[in-house]
Amino acid sequence: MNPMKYKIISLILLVTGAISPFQAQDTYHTLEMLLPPADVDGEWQVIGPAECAEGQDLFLLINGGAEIYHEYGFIKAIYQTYIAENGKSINLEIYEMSEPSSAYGMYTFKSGHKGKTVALGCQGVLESYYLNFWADKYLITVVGMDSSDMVLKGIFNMAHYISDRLTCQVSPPALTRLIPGEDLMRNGITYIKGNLGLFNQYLFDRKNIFGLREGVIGKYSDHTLMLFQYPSEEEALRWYLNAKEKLKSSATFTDFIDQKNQFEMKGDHSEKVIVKHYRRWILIAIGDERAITDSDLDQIQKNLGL
Amino acid sequence: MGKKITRRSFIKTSGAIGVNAFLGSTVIPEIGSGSEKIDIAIVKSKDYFNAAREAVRLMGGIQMYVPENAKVALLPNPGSGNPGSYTKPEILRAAIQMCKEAGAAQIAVIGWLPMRDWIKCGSKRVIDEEGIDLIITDLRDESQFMRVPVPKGVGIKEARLLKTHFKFDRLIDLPITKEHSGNKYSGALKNMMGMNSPKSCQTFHRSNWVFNTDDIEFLEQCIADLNTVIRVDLCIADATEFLITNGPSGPGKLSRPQKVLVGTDRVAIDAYCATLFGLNPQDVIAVKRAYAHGLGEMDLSKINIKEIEF
Repeated sequence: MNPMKYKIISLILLVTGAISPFQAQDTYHTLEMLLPPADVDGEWQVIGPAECAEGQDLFLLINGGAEIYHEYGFIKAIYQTYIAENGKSINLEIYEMSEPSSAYGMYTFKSGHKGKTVALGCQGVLESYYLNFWADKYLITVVGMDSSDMVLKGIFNMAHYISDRLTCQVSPPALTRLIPGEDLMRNGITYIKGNLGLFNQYLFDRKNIFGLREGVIGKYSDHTLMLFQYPSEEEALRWYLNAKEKLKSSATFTDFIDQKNQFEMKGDHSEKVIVKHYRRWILIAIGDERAITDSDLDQIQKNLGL
Repeated sequence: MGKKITRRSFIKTSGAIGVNAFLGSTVIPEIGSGSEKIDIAIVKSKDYFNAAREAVRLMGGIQMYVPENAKVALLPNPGSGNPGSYTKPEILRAAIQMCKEAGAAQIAVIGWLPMRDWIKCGSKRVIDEEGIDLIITDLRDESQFMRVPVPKGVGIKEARLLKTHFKFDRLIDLPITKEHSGNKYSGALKNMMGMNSPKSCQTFHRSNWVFNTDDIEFLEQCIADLNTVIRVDLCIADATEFLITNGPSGPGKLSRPQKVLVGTDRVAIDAYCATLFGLNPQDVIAVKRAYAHGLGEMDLSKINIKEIEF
C-alpha cells in the first residue's frame, strides 16, 4: 500500500471509528488500559478508537456467533485494529469473562491442535496466523491477516505487552486434570460449560440431553474421552438416564447395548460410543471399536480417586 | 420486485445468452445448446474475480438476472475482518462490474453493520473504487426497518427488513460459506439475517437462550422462516477460503476449496456448501427447514451442478 493510500484509509477509519456504535466508554477503562499503544514496536499504528461491547451487544460487535461466548460467561470485550505502513493489519480482541474458568474454557475452545505453545499469561498458543492466551478472567486473541514474519512479530509484541500487565494467579479447573494425560493431543483439552461446547466437539443431540453445565473433553489421536460433572450423584444419574432414553430412540445411533450404569452404541460414522454413570459424573469414550475399551473410562475413574 | 425467472424461462434463454464472455473458450467448456439445465455453476480458481464472472456466465450470464435499468442491491457478508469470515472483495467487485455491464441503473451494497466492518474486510475500498453506494442503515434506529409479516413462519411471525431494500428491484446474495459455532454452518440462507433488524435477529436466539436447550433448532427455523419473505434473484457464494473452526468470526482453521458458486436456489447452494465441511445437507437444520418451506432443493442428486476449474 502506498503511503498516500495508507493515510486515506487511516483517516477514513479515524472518522468512521468516531461514529462507531461500539466506541469505548468509561465502562471499558480496565480493558482499554491493556491495549498496546500505537508505537509498541514502532511498526503498527492504532486505527480509530477501540470498539467495545457488553452483554448481548457482542453479537453486533463480532457480527454473529456470540452464543458460545455467552455460554462460557461473557461480560465485555474491546477490539482494536492496528495497521502498518505497508497496509498489513492486526486485529486485537480482549474479552473479560465472568470468571477465570470461563476465560480458560473459551481459550481451550478457540485453540486448535496444531498450534505452538507460547509462554504468555496462564497459557497461550500460536496458530498459523493468530494467537490466543488467557490470564485470570481475560482471554486475548491477536489476529494477523497473514503469517509473514513482520505480522507474527507484531502479534507477539502486542501479546507480550498485554501479558506483562496481567497476572496469572489461577490454574485450569481441577476437572481438567482428571483426563489421562498420556498420548493426549497437543492442546487436546477442551473445557466446556454447556451444550454448545459439546455440540462443537461431538453431536449427540442439539438439545442439552446431558443437562451439561461443566465438562472436559480430551482428544487423542484415535479416540476422545469426556467427563461431565454434576452437583450431586442424583443429578448425574437423572441426566444419564435422560440421555440414555433420548439416544436409544435417536436415528443417529445404532447397536445400542444397555448394561448396568453403562450403555454402548454406534455413531453414524461407525464409531463406538461408551457412556457410563459413575457417582456425580458421566464418563464417555468415543472412537474406533479397537481404539476404545472400558479401561479408558476406568483410568478416569482412578483419577477421580474414588 | 420484478418478475421471477422461472425454470422454464431460464432454460429457454440460457442457451442464447450463455456465451464466452471474457475467458478463452479453449480454457472453459461451453454450455450446450440450452437444453442443459444447470442449477448451480461452480468455478474453482485462485482468481476469485474471474471465477465469479465465469460462474455467472455458466448460469446464463448476468443479463438473466439483472435487466437493463434495474436497481440492484448487493448483500455481501463483511464478517469480522478476520481471514475466512468475509465475502472476498474480488467477488464483490466482479458482481458490481457485471451489474454495470448489464446496464443496471443503480447498484448499491446495503446492510446495517457499521462502516468499520466494511473497511476492515476490504469491501469499502472496492465500493469506492467502483463508484457505487454503500447504504448503511443505523442499526439502532428501528424506524429504518419495515415490519413484514412472515405468514409461513414457524419460529417468527414478523421480520423487520431494511427499508432501503424496498428501493431496489433486484437482490444479489453474496454470502461466504463458513463454520458457525452456534449452529455449525453459515451460508446463503443465514446471510439474509443481514437484511433483518439486529433487534429482530436477536429474538432468533430468544432472550433466555442460554437456558433454552432448544435454541439451536429455533435459530435455524427462524433463518428458514426469514428467507420465505425475501426474494433473492441471484446468489454468488464465496467458498474460496473460509473458517472451518471458530466461525463465524474466527480466527480459526481455514479451508481453501477456492470455489465460487452461482445459482438462484439458496437451499441448493447451502446443501452443496455443507458438503465442503464434511456435513450432509440434512445436518444443517436451516437447509432442511428451508426445503420444507419449499424454498429450494436439498437433495444433491436432484441438483444439476456444472463445475469447472481454471
